[in-house]
Amino acid sequence: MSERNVEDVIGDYVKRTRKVLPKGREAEDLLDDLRNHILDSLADKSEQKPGVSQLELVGEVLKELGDPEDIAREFESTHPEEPATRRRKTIRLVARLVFAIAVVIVAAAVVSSVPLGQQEEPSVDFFTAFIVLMVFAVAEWYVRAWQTRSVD
Amino acid sequence: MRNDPSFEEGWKIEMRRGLLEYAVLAIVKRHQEGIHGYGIARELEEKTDGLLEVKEGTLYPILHRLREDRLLNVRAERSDTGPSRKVYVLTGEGDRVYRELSFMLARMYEKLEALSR
Repeated sequence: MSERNVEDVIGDYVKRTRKVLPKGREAEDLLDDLRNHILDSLADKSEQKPGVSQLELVGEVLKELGDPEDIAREFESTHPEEPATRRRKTIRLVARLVFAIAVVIVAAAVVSSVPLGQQEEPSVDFFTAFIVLMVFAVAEWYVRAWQTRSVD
Repeated sequence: MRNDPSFEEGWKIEMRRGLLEYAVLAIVKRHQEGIHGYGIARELEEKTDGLLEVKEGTLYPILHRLREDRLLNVRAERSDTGPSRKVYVLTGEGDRVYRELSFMLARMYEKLEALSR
């Protein structure tokens, strides 16, 4: 197996770990430590077992390192979130929600007051426009959250 | 169905974290010139015969925490296998905490042993 494959395996492990760790400088620092540990351990094992493929050895290294979820659990238990940070996150979430609903109300009011073509009546009533736009807003929210999780 | 750990498994998990922090301080204290994370993981495995059952990756959040608590200090060292890596050294406060914990553990062990006699 080629060296490139070993790098891919290490890269995948680091990506999986990054996904389950909270975002921030502290987590990036931890990922650097893990990457260094993998390289040190791999070099050590290559010396001890010269006949064994690098891919097999990196598998052993990652097994000894543990699941990314275990590392994230340990990280969260040793770095409990500050109440102030939690409060800031909640305020930001509520503010986003209020802003999104306000935008949907304004958009629904505009859409439901504009007549279509030669008709005098608007093509859609306010309530229907509000529901449709809310569905789009919620879908957009979910897609964005999913994309954020899938980054890397 | 929930797969809860047995009583002794749960007890072991509770005990392990505190002991692990102590063991890390003990290893770093023995290496006055400093030791890197991989070295700590190796010593932990070899010297305790895997008694603490540490997944090596879970050691790093603990090292970060000990550093935040100013019990460990870090300096950068060039590495042959990749980017520069951290070398951990015990701070004065770390040394004081380690001695305090050693005393406390010895007393606990003594008293617990007396209980079982």
